Amino acid sequence: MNRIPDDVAALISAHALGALEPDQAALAEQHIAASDECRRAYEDALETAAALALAVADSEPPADLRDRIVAAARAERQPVSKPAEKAAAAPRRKFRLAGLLTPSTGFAVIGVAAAIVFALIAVSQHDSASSARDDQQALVAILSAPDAHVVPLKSAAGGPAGGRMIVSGNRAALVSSLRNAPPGHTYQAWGLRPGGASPVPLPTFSGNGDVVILDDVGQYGGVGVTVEPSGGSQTPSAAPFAVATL
Amino acid sequence: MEAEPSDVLLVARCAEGDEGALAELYDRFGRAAYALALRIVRDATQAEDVVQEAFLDLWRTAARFDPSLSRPASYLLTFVHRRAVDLIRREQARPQRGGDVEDIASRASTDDVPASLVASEQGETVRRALADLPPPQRQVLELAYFNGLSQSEIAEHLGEPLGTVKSRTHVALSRLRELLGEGFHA
Repeated sequence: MNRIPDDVAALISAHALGALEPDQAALAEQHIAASDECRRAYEDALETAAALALAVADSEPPADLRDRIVAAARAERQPVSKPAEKAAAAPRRKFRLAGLLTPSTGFAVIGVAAAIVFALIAVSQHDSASSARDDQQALVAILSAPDAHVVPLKSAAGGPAGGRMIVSGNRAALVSSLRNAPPGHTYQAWGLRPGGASPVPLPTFSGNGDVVILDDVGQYGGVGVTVEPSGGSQTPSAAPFAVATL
Repeated sequence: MEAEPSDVLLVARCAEGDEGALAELYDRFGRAAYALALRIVRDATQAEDVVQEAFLDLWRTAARFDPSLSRPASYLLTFVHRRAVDLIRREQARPQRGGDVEDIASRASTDDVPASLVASEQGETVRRALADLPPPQRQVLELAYFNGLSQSEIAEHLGEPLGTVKSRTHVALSRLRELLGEGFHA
C-alpha cells in the first residue's frame, strides 16, 4: 500500500466536495485514474461528502415531482439502449476499447496492426450498427494511414493530460485515458480556432477507453477538452483543461 | 446495511425499464435530494429540475451502474450536488455566495429540526458530527459543499493562505468521516 502524498490526498478531498477549479479537477481525475489507492480515497471521500447532504433540514418537494419524474422516464422508454448524452452539435461518434486501454499502456502504439485494434473494439454505446461500423472503419483508416501521428493532450502546465489524439490528414481519433466523468457530467471536445473565434462544439465522451472520431480537424489550431454537464454544451463552461495542439 | 441490496436491486430493475423501481428510489431519496438541491440553489423550480435530472440520469445509466463503486443514494446526492453547484457557479455573482454562510451545524442544538422521519435520524447524526468539528473545519466544509465555493474562493473569502484551506478541508473531511464512523453512509 502506497501512502497517498498529503497534497494529493487534499486534492482528492476537495474534488469530492466539488470545490476544485476545472484544471485542478482534471488533475485530481488523473490521480484517481492512475492509482487504486487514490480511487479508493476518492470513493470514501464522496461517501462522506454525500453524508453532508443529510445535514440539510428537510424540505418537502412538490407532491407532483414524483409523477413528473416517472412520466419523463416513461417517455424515454428504453433506458438501456438510449444513449445518456445527446452530442451537442456534432454527430455522436464514439466507442469504447474494451478495457484494454489503461492510462499506463495508453495508445502510443500506432504500429499496432489495425486488424487487432479492430478486433478490440466493443460496440457498446452506439446509435446504430452502421454508424459503429463507420467509426470502426474510420479508426482503422486513421491508424493504418502512413501519415498517422500521435499528438498528446497536455495540461496548461505542459504535462500529459488524459489522453492523446492520433491524427491522419483531416481526421483524428481522440483516445481518452481520463477517469469517468463525475456524475451528471461529461467530457467534451472542442475545436479551437485561431484568432479568438469561439470554440466549435465536438462530441462528448465519458472517460477511460472512449474513442471519438473527429472530422475536419484541419480547420482547428487545436482540440481542447472540458468538463460539461451531461448532454454537452454549445459553449465551453471553462477553459479547456487539456489541449492537443495541431 | 439491510436496505443496501434492495437499493441496488431497484437500480437493476430500472435498467430493465421498471418505472415502479424508479418511483421507489424516489420515495427513498427524493426528499433528501430535493432538500440538498434547494439548500444550494435556493430556488424551488431549479431545485426540482436538478432532482428530476438526477433521477433521470440514474434511469438512463442504470444498466451501467456499478454498485462496487458507489451506492445509489450517494450517486444521486453526488449528482444533485454537482449539478446544483454548477448552477450557482454559472448564475450567481461569485462574491455573493461567500457572504451568506448559514451555519448548518448550529441547527443541531436547536429544537426546530424535524425529527419525525427516518432520514432525519441520519441527519441528526451528521449535524452532531459537524457540531463536533472545530468551527474553522466546519466552516470550510460548509463553504465548499453548500455554498459551492472553490478552494481558492474560500481562501479569498477567509483571507487565509490557499495551502491552509486545502489542508484544513482535507483534515475536516477525514475527521468528519471518523466521527460518522465506518458504517455510516448516505
